[in-house]
Amino acid sequence: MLEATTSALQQLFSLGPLLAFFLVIPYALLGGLMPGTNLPLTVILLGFAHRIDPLVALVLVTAKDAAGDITEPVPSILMGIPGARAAQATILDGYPLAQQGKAAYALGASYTTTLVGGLVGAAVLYAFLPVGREVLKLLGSAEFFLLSLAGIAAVAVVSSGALVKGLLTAAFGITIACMGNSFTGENVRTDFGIDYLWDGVPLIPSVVGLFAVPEVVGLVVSNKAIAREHAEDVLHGKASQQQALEGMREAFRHKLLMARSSIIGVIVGVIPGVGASAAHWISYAQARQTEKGATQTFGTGDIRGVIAADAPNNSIDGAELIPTLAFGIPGSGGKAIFLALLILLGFVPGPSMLNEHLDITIALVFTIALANVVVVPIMFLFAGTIAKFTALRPTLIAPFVAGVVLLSAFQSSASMADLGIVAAFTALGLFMKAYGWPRTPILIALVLIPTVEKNLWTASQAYGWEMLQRPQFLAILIIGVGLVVWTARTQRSAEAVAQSQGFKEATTD
Amino acid sequence: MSMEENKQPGAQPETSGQSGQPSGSPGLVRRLTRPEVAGEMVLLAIVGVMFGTMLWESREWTTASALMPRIAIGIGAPLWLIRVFGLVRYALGTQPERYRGVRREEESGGQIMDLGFYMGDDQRAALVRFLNITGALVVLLLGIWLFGWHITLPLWTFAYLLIFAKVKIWQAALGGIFFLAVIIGVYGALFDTIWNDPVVLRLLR
Repeated sequence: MLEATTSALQQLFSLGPLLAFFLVIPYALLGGLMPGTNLPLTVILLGFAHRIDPLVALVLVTAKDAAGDITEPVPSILMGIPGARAAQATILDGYPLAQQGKAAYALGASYTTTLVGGLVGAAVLYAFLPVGREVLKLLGSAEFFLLSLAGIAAVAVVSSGALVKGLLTAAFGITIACMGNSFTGENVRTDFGIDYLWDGVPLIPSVVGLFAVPEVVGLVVSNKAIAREHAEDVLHGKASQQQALEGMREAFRHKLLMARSSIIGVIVGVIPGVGASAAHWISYAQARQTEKGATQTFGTGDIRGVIAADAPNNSIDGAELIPTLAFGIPGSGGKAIFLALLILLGFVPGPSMLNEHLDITIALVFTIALANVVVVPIMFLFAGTIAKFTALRPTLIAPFVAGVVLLSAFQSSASMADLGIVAAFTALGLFMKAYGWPRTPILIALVLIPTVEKNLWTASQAYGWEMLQRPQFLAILIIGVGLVVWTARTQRSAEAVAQSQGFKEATTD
Repeated sequence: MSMEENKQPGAQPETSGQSGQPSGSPGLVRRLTRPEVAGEMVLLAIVGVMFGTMLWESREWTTASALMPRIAIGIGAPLWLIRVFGLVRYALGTQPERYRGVRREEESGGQIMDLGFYMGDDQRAALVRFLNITGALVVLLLGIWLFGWHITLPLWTFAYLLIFAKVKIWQAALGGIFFLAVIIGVYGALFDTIWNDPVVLRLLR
C-alpha cells in the first residue's frame, strides 16, 4: 500500500497529469455554475481515450468533478437559483443570508465545509482500499454478476422515483446493450437489418444522444441566465473577503455538524443510485432535527443550514468511487460515464483496480483531495469574478457545447452512422427527459452489460444452479435486495424533505 | 408542450370507462392523445417493439447468446404490461386521478435532467425555444451529412450566434472561426481525422 502510495504521488506530480489538473480547474469552475456544460469534457475524453495517457484522462475527469462541485452552491447562495440540482438545499439558508448582505459569509462557510467534506471523502476512499482488496478475494463471477445487476436495479429504482418505470427502463437498457454480435460471436442479435449495429450500439454516440444533446436542449429551454449585476452587488471588495473569512471560522465552530454531514455524504455515496441531491436533503434534515433551535431558525438564514447542506457536496465524490472502482458498479450517471472511460482506457474495474492498478486508484484519491485544496482558496479570492459567468446566456453556450459533443461522437469511429445513432438517441433522450423516464439505467446497462453477460455465462457454466447456494452469493442477494429497498426509502424520505421545502421531486439525479 | 386545455386529466368526469361512454368516442380519442398519455404511449411502443423483436429472434440463438436478453425481457415484460394497463386505465378515466409516474403539466415545472424540461412561467416562450434549438440541431446534422463538417459547423455556429444569441456579427464570426480552427487544427492536423464524404460534394464530382 505504501509503495503504491509513493508511486501514485510520483505519477500524479509528474508533468502531464499535473498540467492536466491545472488546465481543467478553470473549466470545472464554470461547469459547476452552468448545468449542461459539464459533460462535454468527459465526452471528448471518451472520444480520445485511445490517444491519451490514461492517468491524464482520469485526473482530468476526477479533478473536474471535484472542483466543479465546489462552485455549485454559488448561484444558490447569490441568486436563489440552483446551479445544479444537488445545490437546492443550499438555497434555503444561503439565499436569505445573501439577502441580508451576507453572501460572502455564506460562501465562506460553504467553501470550507465543502473542503472538509472532500477531504473526508478522499480519506474514506483511501482507508477502504486495503479492506476492499480482502473483500474482493471472496467474490467470483456469480457474485460480480449479481452485484452489477443489483447496481443497475438500485439506480433504476431510485433515478425514476417510480419502481415500475425505473426497472422497465433498466430492462430496456439491457436489451439495447445486447444488440449486435453476442459475446461468444455465435449470433448477431437484433440488428433490425442494419449492418452497422453488428458491433452493438456504440457507447459514445449513445451518451451524446441520450445525455449531452438533451442537456443542451434543456439549457436553452430553461433560459436560465442570471443577472451579472446582482453578483457584483453582493460580492464587492475587501469587505466581502472579511465576511468570507468569518464564514470559514463559523464553519469550524460547527465541527461536529460538518463531520456528521460529511459522513452522511460518504454513506449515501457508497450506495449506488441515491445520488448527491438526496445526500444534501438528508443532511439538511438531520441538522434541522438535531441542532439546537434549528427548527425555528433554519430557512431564515442560519449558517448551520448552509454547512449541513454543503458538507456532503464533495465527500460523496470519493465515496462514489468505491463501488465504481472496486465492484464496477457506478453509483450515478456521472460515474457510469467515468466507468466507461475507465474501460475505454484499458482498465478493468474490480479487483485489478485494487491490485495491479492500485497506484492509479490512489492517484485518484489524491486528485480529489488536491482539487479541494487548490480550488477553495481560488474561490475565496475570486468568487465574485467567477460568479459573473453565471450571466452567460444559454444561447451563447449551446452552439459550442453542441458542436464539441457532436465532433467527439464522430471522432470515436469517424462514421456518419455515429451521427445517426446520436440523432436516434437524442430523440429517445428528449422523449425520456420530457416524460420523466430515467436515462441513467440505459447508460449503466450499455457500460456494464458486456461484462455482466460474460460473468453470468461463466458462473452458469462453473456452478450451474449451485451458484444459488454459495454463501457469498446469498449474502450479496440479501444485501442487494435490502439495498434497493433501503435506497428507495431513503430517496423517498429525502424527497419528502425537499417537497416540504417547496421543491418538487427534487432528489432525483 | 402547451397543455393548458388538458390541465385536469382524470379529475373531471370525462370517464367513458365509468360512464359507459362507447369506446371510439371523441372523448376517448381526446384522452388518448393527451400529451402526457401520447408521449408515454410512444415510449412504451418503442420498448414493446424492442422486447418483442428480441424475444422472437432469440429462438434462433444459442443459449449463451439468448440468456441475458431473455432475463431482461422476463423482468421487463410484466412491468411493461403493468405500465400499459395503468396508462390505458388512466386514459379511460378508470384510474384514480393521479397515476404515479405519468407526467402532468403541473408536475413538470422547475426541473432539469430526468424530470422534464424546466419551462419557467412562460410555457409558450419555452416551447418556441425548444423548437428553435431542436430545429437548429436537425439543420446541423443534415448540413454535416450534405456539406461536411468544415462548411457546416462554422457556418451553423455563426448563424446560431447571430440569430438566437443576437451577438454582433464579428462575435458570431469569431465563433465560426473557432470551430474552423478546431476542425482543421486539432481534429485534422493533430489527430488525422478521416472526415465523411459529403453528399453534395459527391454529387458535384
